[in-house]
This record gives sequence, structure tokens and C-alpha cells, in this order.
Amino acid sequence: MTDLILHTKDLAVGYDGRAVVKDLTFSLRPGEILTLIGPNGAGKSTILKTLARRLAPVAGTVLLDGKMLPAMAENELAKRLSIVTTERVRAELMSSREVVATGRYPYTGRLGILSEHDRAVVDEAMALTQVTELQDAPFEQISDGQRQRVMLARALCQEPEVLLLDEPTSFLDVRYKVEFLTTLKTLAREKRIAVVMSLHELDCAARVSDTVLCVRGGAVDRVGRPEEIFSGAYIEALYGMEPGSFEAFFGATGDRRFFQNRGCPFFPCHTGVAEKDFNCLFCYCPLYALGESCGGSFRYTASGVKSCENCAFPHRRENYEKVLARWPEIAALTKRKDHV
Amino acid sequence: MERQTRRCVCAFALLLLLLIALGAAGLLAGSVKVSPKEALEVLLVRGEVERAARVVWTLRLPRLLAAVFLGGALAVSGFLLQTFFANPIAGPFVLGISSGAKLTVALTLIAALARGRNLGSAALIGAAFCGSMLAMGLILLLSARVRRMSLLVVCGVMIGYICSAITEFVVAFADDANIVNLHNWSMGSFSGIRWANLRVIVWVTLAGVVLSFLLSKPMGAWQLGEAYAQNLGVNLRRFRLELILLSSVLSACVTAFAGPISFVGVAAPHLMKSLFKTAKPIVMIPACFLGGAVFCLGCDLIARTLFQPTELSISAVTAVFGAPVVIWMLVRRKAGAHD
Repeated sequence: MTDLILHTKDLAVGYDGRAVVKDLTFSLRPGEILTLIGPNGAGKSTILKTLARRLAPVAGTVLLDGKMLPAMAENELAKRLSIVTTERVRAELMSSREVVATGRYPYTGRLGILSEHDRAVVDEAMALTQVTELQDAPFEQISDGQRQRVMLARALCQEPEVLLLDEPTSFLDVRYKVEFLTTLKTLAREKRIAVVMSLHELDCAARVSDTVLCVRGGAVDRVGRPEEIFSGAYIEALYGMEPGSFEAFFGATGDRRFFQNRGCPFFPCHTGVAEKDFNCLFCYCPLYALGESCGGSFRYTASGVKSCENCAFPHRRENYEKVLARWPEIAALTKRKDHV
Repeated sequence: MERQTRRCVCAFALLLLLLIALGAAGLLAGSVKVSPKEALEVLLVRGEVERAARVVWTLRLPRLLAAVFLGGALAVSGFLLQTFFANPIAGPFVLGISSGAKLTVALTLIAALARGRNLGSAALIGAAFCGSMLAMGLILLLSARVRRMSLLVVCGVMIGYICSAITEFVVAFADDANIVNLHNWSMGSFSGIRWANLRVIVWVTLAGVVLSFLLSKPMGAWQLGEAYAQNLGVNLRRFRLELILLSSVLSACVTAFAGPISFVGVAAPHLMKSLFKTAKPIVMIPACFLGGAVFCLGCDLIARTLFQPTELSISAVTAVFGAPVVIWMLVRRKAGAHD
């Protein structure tokens, strides 16, 4: 228990006393990464804001190193917990180094003048996040990826025990995403910082987190290790997707590029094709809209769907390439661009 | 770091030089000719009763000092508002705060004069402060609803027009004898400031500027945005209150004694940012004070001497120099936004 740095119990978060997410109970050790995933608007940011004490908890408790969060002095909290937000920082006429140095705020005196030690901490933070060479560059002119690393360096300057990041990789391209999360993971381990962040990129979440917390419909849907969360059909359920669509797209469980959507209201839409041979990603026949004149023979299933029997483009996997090759032609003919 | 420090030292030195030069010019220039030797004598001995000495001691010196302190106060007030609203064109005049103060001061003056009383400096500042806070309150209410900063500025300008219109209306119905005074004042001018007023001006503006300077650390954190300021340990509620009170007191003090003066609050901080190449409050607050002082001193000198013995209103001159700065800034910002 003494090992825990951040601990919540029956925490409810929300605005004006109305809870957005209820019954949050989790705990975090130094050096661990907890990732919040869940659909947009599920309340991930609200949780982070509550942990950062921007919002008061609606109910329940948050303990930071065994102390009640709401009772903590402002300056003490600032020395223990730092944030990286999604909001765009306006840093008028500030160099990147000056932005990083603002992280020393809780450690400086009345006028905020930096000491030798403060400067050394700034140097170290910039080195750790690999932004040393940007230090004189105006913050407003560096790229999004660089900016995010500068903001991470800024957060490190507070010498936090807990670091909160709200969608830190949202504006980054894939290279910067990987770089950023790798840096973050190393830092968490080496500096023993507990990290709580929200991520939209599930593939990243799976690789970087120690624990994944899934928020959905006003409650914690699941908490667990990434292997537990990212297996089976759970992700589709969490995001309200059709079963199988995540795996089909991301191939999370290996090389299953094809899938059948058994939750589809029209399933099974084929009577003439063996189930193992078709792929719901292409489940609409390009010629379907042409009705009677599609050229093949078909019949209607009980649910009123055209089921092909002797189709010009049978829904067999080996035909998909042929279908795709004729796609522009078909699209022009039917004036429908996106069938899939 | 090194370069930045050197730049600051040079810029401060430049501002001080300008201040001294313009101050000297202000003492000497005018319809009564005064030689440098005479002026120096007056400053050192104080006691001469010659005509020239009287002009320098009773008229020019207080006026000059008023321009210095009130100009500085105005620029600092503008900087505080720009920081608060994170908007480079916010300022006491643009947001209608000066006009709010003008309205309440005009009302109080007329009420007092109608009863045959004269108002002291404290009462004037008090009235102006009430007006500032009213206008500020209105702006804050609007800013909760209007997220777009440009709209907020438009609202501020509208508030300014409404207040000015009511002031004009009231002035039109005031006694003849009051009108001349009131009219001059409501156009904005540093003339007619006496030593007794000046004492109050110096105390109020110095207190305001020093207190603002002490807020420069939380202000620096605030510049990064509300979330970061809070995370860095700034007590947001107290900080906001302090910032609003200080900017209102400073602009109220200016309006109480010199009437509404346009554009200094926007132009001076911007010029200082360009000169110092930083927006750090710890540098900007003293810089804005000096910059505003130099700006107003220069403008007052022009207002006084250009068509002497006729005086221009100070706002006419500050607008001529200040408005282009604001336009240039807006254009450049627009261009920057497309990067």
C-alpha cells in the first residue's frame, strides 16, 4: 500500500456536481503507465482534469502519495504532479527553453528568477526529451512533434511523481507518436514517474501501457493489462463497433485480413457462398444497386437482402481484386463512390 | 540568455534617455520661453517667483510628471488586460473601461458642482474606479459568453461608445460654467493637474505598478494558459481578482485626472514587446511603464506645442501614433496565423 503513488477509490468525476464517470477505483505505482481509452466524450479528459485538481471530485477520494488531493497545498501539488494538455499553448515571443523553464515555477521565489540548480534541471529535462538543440528556437515556430516534446520537458521540470497527459499524441504523425511514447516510457521507468494518459491510438496504448482503463457509458468498463483488454471482441464492444471490424482493420490477432460481421442485421447474406469464403468488408456487391439487371441470379433472403447465387462478381475472396480493378467503372456507372 | 540580458539593458537605457530628453524638452518648450539655465534653477532652488519660474514650477513640471506617471499606468494597465484576456489588442480604452470611468466621473463631477462643491482627488479616483469596475464587469460577463476575442473587442468598443454618448448627453445638460472644464477633461488632457493631484497620482500609480510587478510570476504562468497556470500552483481565483483590480485601479487613476486617453494601453505594450523581444511580465511591466511614460510625454509635448497656444486633445495625438501601431500589429498577426 505504501508503494502506491496515486490511488482513487469510488471516485466520481464530472461538472457542477453531476457525475460524468462514476466508480473509478484504481491505483498506480511509481514508474507505471495507466492509459485511459474509450469513445469520444466518455469522460477521459474529465478524469484527468479531476486528477489534476482542475475539477473537484463529485464523490469518492483521490490520494496522492497517501494524501488527500483536495487538501494539498497548491505549491506542493505543483511539485508532485504535472500535466501536458491538448490545448494549444500560446507562448508569445518565448523560446522553447523559456517554455520549459516555466516548469520550475513551484521551486522559484516571489519573482520567479531561476537559480543555478533550476537551470541544471531545465538542461536535463531538455536533454531527456531530446529538445536541447531547439532551445533558442521560438516556441511558436517549431513543429507539433517538437512542441509536444518541449511540453513534456516542461512537465518534467516540475520534478513530478505523477504525470498526466491528455491525448499527447493527437497531432503527431506516426514517427513522432512512436518517438514520443518511447521517450515517455523510458522516462517513466527511469525517473519512477507514474503516468496517467488518455490515448486514441489503441495500437500505441497496447504497447506503451502497464494498465489500460476503459471508460464507457459513465463508468469504468474494464481495467486490466493490455493483453487482456486487446483480445477478443472487447474493443469493438467498447467503441460500439461491429464485432470483428477492429481486428479486420488492425489485424490485432495476427493475419486475419478477412472477417465476418456476425452482428450485421443482414447476416448471413449469402446462401450460395461458403461462409468461410466471404469477407464482410466487401459485403456489398458493387452491382447490388443495379437490382434486377446486375447480371447474376439471386434470391432474396428472409430479411429482404439480395443473396447472390450465380453472381457476375461472386463474393469470393479470390474475386475481390477483380472487383476492385473494375471499381472506377462501376462507381461511375452507379454514381456511388463508397460502398465499403 | 546573454544576448537577451544585453538587449534588455540597452532598451531600458534607451527608454530612460528618451524620457529625460523629452522631459527636458517639455520643460523648455511652450509659449513662454524658458532657457535651460532658468529651468535648472527652478528645479534646484524651487523658490523663484519670476514669471518663467512660475510657469515651469506650477504648470509644466506637474503636467510633465502627470504624463509620465499616467502614461506609464495606462500602458501597464493595458499589458495586464492583454495578459488577462490573452488578446494583444485588449486595453482600457478598447474594452470600454476608460469610457466607463469617464461616465461615472462626469456624473459625480456634475452632481458635486451642482451642489457647489469641489471634488478631491480621492473622490475622483473612487468614482473612476466604480466606472472602471462596472465596465470591466460587463466585459467579463460578455467574455464568458463570447469566446471569440475579436467579438469581445467589438463589444468593448460598443460599451465605450454607449458610455461616451451618455457622458456627452449629461455634459450637454450641465451648467454653462462647468461645461468648458468638463468638455476639456472628457476629451482627455494632462493640463490643469496641480501638485496636490500629483501626489495622489504618484502614490496610486506606483502602488499599482509595484503590485503588478509582484504578480509577474503568476502572470508568466498564466500566459501559457489557464490549465498550466493552475497546475503550476497559481491560485486562479485570487490571481484573476488581483489582476482585474489592479488594471482597473490603474486605468481609473488615469481617467480620473486626464480623461480617457486612447491607444496608449495597446500601442505602448506592443512597441515594448517588439523592442525587448520578449513578453515576460517581469521585464514587460517596468518596460511598459517607461514606454507608456515616454509615449505620453512625447504625445503631450506635441499636443501642447504643435499649434500653440491652442492645445490639441491628448487622445488626438496618441491616436495618430497609436492607431497605426495597432493596425500594423493586427495585420502582422493575421499574416502570422497563416503560417
